[in-house]
Amino acid sequence: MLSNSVKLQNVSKSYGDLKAVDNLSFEAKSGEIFGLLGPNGAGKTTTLEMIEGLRAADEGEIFIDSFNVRTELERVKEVIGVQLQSTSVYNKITVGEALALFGGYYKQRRPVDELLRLVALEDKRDTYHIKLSGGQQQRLALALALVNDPKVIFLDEPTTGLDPQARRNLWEIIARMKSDHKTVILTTHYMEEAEHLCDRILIIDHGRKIAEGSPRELVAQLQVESCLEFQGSALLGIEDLKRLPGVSKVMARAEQMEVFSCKPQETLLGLMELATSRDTEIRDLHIRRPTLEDLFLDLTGRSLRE
Amino acid sequence: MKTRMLLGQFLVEMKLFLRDRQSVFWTFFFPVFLILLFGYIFGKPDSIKFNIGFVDEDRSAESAKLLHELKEIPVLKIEMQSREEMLQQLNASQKSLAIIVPGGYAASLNSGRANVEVVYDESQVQVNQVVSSLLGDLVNRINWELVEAEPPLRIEQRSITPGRRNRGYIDFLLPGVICMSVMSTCLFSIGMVVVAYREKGKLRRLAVTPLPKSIFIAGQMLQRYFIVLIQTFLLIGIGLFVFDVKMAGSIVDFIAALTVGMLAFIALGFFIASIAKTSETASGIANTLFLPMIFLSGVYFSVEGMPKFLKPLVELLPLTHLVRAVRAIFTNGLTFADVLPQMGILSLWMIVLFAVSSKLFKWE
Repeated sequence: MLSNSVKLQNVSKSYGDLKAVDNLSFEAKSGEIFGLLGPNGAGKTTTLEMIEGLRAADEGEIFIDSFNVRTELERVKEVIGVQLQSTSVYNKITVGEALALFGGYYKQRRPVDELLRLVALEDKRDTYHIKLSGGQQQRLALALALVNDPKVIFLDEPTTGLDPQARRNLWEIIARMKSDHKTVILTTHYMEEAEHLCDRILIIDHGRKIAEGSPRELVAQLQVESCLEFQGSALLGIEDLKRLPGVSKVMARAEQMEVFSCKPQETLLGLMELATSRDTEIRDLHIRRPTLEDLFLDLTGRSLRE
Repeated sequence: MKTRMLLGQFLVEMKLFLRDRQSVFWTFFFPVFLILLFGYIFGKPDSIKFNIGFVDEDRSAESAKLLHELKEIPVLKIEMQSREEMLQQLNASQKSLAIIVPGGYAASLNSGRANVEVVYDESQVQVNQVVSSLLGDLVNRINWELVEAEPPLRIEQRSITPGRRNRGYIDFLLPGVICMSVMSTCLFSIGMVVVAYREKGKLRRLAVTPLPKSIFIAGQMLQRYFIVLIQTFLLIGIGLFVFDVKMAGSIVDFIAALTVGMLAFIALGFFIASIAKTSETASGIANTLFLPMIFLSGVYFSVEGMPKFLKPLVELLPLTHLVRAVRAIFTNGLTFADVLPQMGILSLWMIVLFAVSSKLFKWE
């Protein structure tokens, strides 16, 4: 039976007075891409580091497959692949050499050619790590996390600092891991990344779980269908916007308005009438479905990137 | 499995080292350059020449005889000149010493009351000391000849390594520079590289792999050891082929003593890595330790002439003992067993430093 699951039971970790992770429990099932979401300092990285065995949990137990991270770390290390936040290989080592070197640390390893093909770095085999672009370095880090053909892969903010094209490339590679039946646990503070990649998501803030589920389930918790975004003057009045039909919430940042509604069609008509009666113009109007970002804002009152 | 990992670590460290031109320069070319430079300046016995002015105001057969005797002394280069010329050159620091034979020298020599004058620049201490003692010997000899007698007391000089060619500064310097290279390779590479790896998260990345830390450390040490051996043979080779300096002792004893010293300095490197948080701090500490040791441990010049208050410090420094042991084997042909006291002190350093660093060292 394939069991590449990761299970946390009531895990806590403190640094002095700061409770970085507070009684956290979750399970990432075999073959799933599981997202840990939260703002900076929410405890995502600490959680990952405890699962990887880099830090010991103060309380609680962590299992990978059937191995206890606390007592069977050596066996755990053989079956996990890790990509840390900072790409951390030697500067003047070539891509091919790095993969061969790291492969040598494991009992089981994948051929270098295969790994290069997987992350599309075949033509960079003899290039020094330091000469790679940011996206290529991230891809190498990903390949290094795969050298031992791991059961569980940990990716800590894999696309931070990358341009949109490089990010798309990386998403493709990560999505391919899923089709290889690997369990992937990734942290991100990009909501769209989580929505695009993850089967299930755990949202944490201040080290505590605040929501868990598939992206669709989570967004459904908002109980709104759509969000109307537009630029409009203050003449519209936030209170008046709130009284429009179907509106559940209004967010305004200067002239940027977001109106959440469960009846977008009626809300839109009402908005047009209101604008006409106030003799003011609405620009850049579009309707989008609500995102995890909106959910996070709703749950914590704070934006993810703050 | 373990052996393969160790070999892998060794090879990657070796590649990284060879690709870093700066460290290759400092590790190989700098000590070689140092040996060649000092070797050529001070190394060959006939290469040192002191420029001496000679003013002959007597112009007699006796003064010519004195000039002839002076010219026989190999380290002196005598230039005949007038008093004015000589004074001008002394003041311009072109010469540091001159000998004047005053008029009437021959006559007063016969009456037994002759003088030659020596004018010198006081700031040129070393030249004055050497030349004055040479002149003293010469005058002494002439005096005995004049009274037609044999001096009752003579000095019989005998080397502790009889039957070998004239030894020079290079024989002293070469083992010292080898020790210095060992120290800098251990101090500046191990400590700082480990701190830099820690800073950049490389140690964290390794910590999530099954690679044992002991293998990582052993790989580093093995690579450094290899470098030290290459350095040592390179310097010994230059000594042999360029300066004709032969090792008196056995090469096995020599390498054994260096190995003990190297372990002590690797321990020092790890000690630095365990107390420094950033690579800047590590580099600062390493330099602070490196420079005084170079000057207080007898690498370039003997520690015998050190001020008394520095002596306890000199005796404390590990480099002093390594230099002493290695030089005794290299120059005087002692064996490893003869330098066991020094080896003991180095081992003590090694044990203490490893013990302290293993308590303080943090992987993150």
